[in-house]
Amino acid sequence: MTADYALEGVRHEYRAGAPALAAIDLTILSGQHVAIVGANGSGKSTLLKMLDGLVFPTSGAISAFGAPLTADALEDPAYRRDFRSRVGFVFQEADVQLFCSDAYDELAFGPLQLGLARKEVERRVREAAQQLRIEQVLDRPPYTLSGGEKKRVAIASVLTMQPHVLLLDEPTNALDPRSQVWLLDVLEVWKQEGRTVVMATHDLSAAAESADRIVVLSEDHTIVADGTPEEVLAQRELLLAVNLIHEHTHRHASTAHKHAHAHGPGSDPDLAHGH
Amino acid sequence: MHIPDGYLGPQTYAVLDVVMIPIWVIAARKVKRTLKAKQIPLMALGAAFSFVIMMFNVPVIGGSTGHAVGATLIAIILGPWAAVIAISIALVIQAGLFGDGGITAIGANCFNMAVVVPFVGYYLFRLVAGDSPSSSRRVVASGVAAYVALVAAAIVAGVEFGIQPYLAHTASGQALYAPYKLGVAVPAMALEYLLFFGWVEAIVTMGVVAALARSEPALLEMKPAARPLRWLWAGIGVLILLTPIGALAPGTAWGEWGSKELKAASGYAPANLERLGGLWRSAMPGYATPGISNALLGYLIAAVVGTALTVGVAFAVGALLARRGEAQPPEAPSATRHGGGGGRSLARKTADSIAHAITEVLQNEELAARPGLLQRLDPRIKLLTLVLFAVTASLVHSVWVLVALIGVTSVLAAASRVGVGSFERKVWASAGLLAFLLAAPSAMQIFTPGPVVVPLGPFSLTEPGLMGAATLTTRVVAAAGFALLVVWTMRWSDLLKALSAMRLPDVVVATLAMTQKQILTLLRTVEQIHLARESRTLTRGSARANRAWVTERMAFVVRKSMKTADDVYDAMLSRGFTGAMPSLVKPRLRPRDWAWSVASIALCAAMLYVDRVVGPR
Repeated sequence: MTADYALEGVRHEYRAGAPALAAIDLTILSGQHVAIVGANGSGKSTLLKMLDGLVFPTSGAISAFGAPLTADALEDPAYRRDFRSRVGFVFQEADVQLFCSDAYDELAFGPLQLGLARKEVERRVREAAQQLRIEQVLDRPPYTLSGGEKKRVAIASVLTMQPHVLLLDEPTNALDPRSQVWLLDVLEVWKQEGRTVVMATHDLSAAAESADRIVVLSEDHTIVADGTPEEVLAQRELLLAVNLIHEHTHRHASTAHKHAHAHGPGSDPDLAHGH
Repeated sequence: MHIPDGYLGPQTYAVLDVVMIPIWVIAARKVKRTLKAKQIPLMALGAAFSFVIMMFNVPVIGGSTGHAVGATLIAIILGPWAAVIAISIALVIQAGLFGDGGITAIGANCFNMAVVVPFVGYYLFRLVAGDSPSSSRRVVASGVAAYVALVAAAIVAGVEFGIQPYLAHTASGQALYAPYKLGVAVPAMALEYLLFFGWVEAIVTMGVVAALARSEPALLEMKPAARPLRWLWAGIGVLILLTPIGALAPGTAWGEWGSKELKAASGYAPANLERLGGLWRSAMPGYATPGISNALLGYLIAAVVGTALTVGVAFAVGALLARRGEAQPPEAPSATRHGGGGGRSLARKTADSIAHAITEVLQNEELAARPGLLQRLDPRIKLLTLVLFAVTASLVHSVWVLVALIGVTSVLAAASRVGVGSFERKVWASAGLLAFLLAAPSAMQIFTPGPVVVPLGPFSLTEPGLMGAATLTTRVVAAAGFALLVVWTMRWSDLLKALSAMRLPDVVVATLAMTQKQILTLLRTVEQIHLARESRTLTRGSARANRAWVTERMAFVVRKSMKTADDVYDAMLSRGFTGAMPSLVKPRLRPRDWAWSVASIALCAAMLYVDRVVGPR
């Protein structure tokens, strides 16, 4: 299996001396579903932005699809076009991502930027809209959509580019339980289609349910665990240390006891919460 | 300072509309060079920020509140050229989405608020702040710059109003547009801003600059030092701005000109000033100071009366609207309101006005989606024909033809199913009432000499005076009606498509689209901040504490705007943004669009023909 991404000794600093990522070694294979988990501020979003060629390592190196991914490389129109068409990024806040005047233009934006023919753009918009069931809202401006609809439009606007790699930042945030289930189904379809998915989340249950690999970022911005969901979720002490679960005291009839407890919208209490 | 349609004659608004085109082109080029592809999100957020700043209520004195324009602040943060674009966009959205400021007057409004303020403000800030890194000096500099720049813009607006009677009047001396001459309009506008709005602007600008200096000094970083030559240009610019004042007083020191100088300088017959001076002397004979001409006293009285009138009208309308708002509270639980005089708290007031703005946008979307006459038309045709009607309303002289045009607006409102009742209420109660109150005093003999119709001693009303007031009121109502039809029957996304189809550059359309969306997002955030504060507020703080809080929140909006601009830009890059914004939709014109166009043109031509026959010349 070929590697989509390879990161070696990557460090990133927004301000000197305050790293957002430190000593990151990470290889992501084609078709893998990887969940990056970590507490707020651990560097998940920065890592995703780096995989999308929006921020670059302060030191260390990153390559994508076998070629170095640098700011200079992206200046080349042919490389940029190729890279952008292969990688899609669904941002955490749909309000940031939906910048066109209506949902139709939103879906058409990516393919038009790739310079595709009008007919092809229209076909892709129709297809993505059907797949995400947003045909009814295509002519509406984004600000009249509900939170769930916005998320669907945001995802559809990335799917029209038919990317091989999908980067999702906190995809289950701001989704009601039903939409979360729907999202997990979409992820399953992508798995069947052989797409690579990298998703940043602090929702351990969503990670465990859809990913076949979990990478844990600590609060000092390094990777502290990397393995299958079973392997990672078994490491209670570690998850406690990186603030993904916390001690939780509650009472059963007359006895009080403590155990680790995971939070997250729609989290399944049995996953990290055995009695 | 948002000039509605109807106050400026075609010679003035057309010139300013045309003048703005090269300014926008130059500004767009400069911005493109310095900001590159990032210009779209940065401009959009700058514009959204400028729009949102105007929604904040700032406590001033004695419980009164005002709102700032924030144009100097934007110029300090983005630089003057970027500010030109950002504020212009905010003004276009205010006109197109809320009907704030006229369609034909868009050039004038942009010139005053998006050119005069940022340039005067920015260069004055640079001059006063110097290269000193001291943040307190920068804060003071920003306040001085904001104050002077806004007053300068008010003077320019005063000149625009004041030249109307010279440019267009009938043989009998009846005003056709804004009725007050330079001697009244300029001091009235200047005083209003010198005494009130200038201070609001200074307070807000200083507060935000101080907060940013503490939390985000990088935003205030000076662009590379400008060449000294620029100071020369700034000086020349200020001189140009002062010329209208200078023109009133050649060879005489400031404020000491008499009626002779006035007449020589402007050709403006000072007969009414003499009369006013005489009035003053007869009313208070003991106070006539030797050495100061009576005409000057009369002039000063006219200025004070004018100022008092405009300020008074502004407050009266504000109070009226506020009371109407209180009468029908937007289902706010009364528990969250606190007593203390029965007035609303500052936070609640701002949150309410923001909630109102959001509702209005969403409501307009609903109106624009109804199956009515105008809604069925192609957006380009609709926009062009409604502008054509607005221009026709500005060219007509006869009150009766203007009344006929008001009839056209009512018919169109009914045919478009927007609710004729609320349409008329909105047009007459806001635009019409304000125009009437402003124009009413001009019917008096002291402002407009002529045959007396209603004798009231020194306040006698003259025939040309009354006709002038009626002309202004009907013209403003007709023009406001057409503008409101644009706002109510046009979905924002359609408007953008129309502009795009009319070959407006992609970048502009994309920026407009993003601005509107970001305005709503920012407004929602700000509304929540205010509600959160309201829910935790038990007692009303001092005005000073409130001011500090409001400016801190504005600084927060600046930071959030800039952060969002970065994020949106990332999101655009991520989807392969290359700098162009192609759109798929190519609207086609249908037979009904052509039929409507022909009918509109014929109707406007007929109105203008009838006006030439029956209207006063």
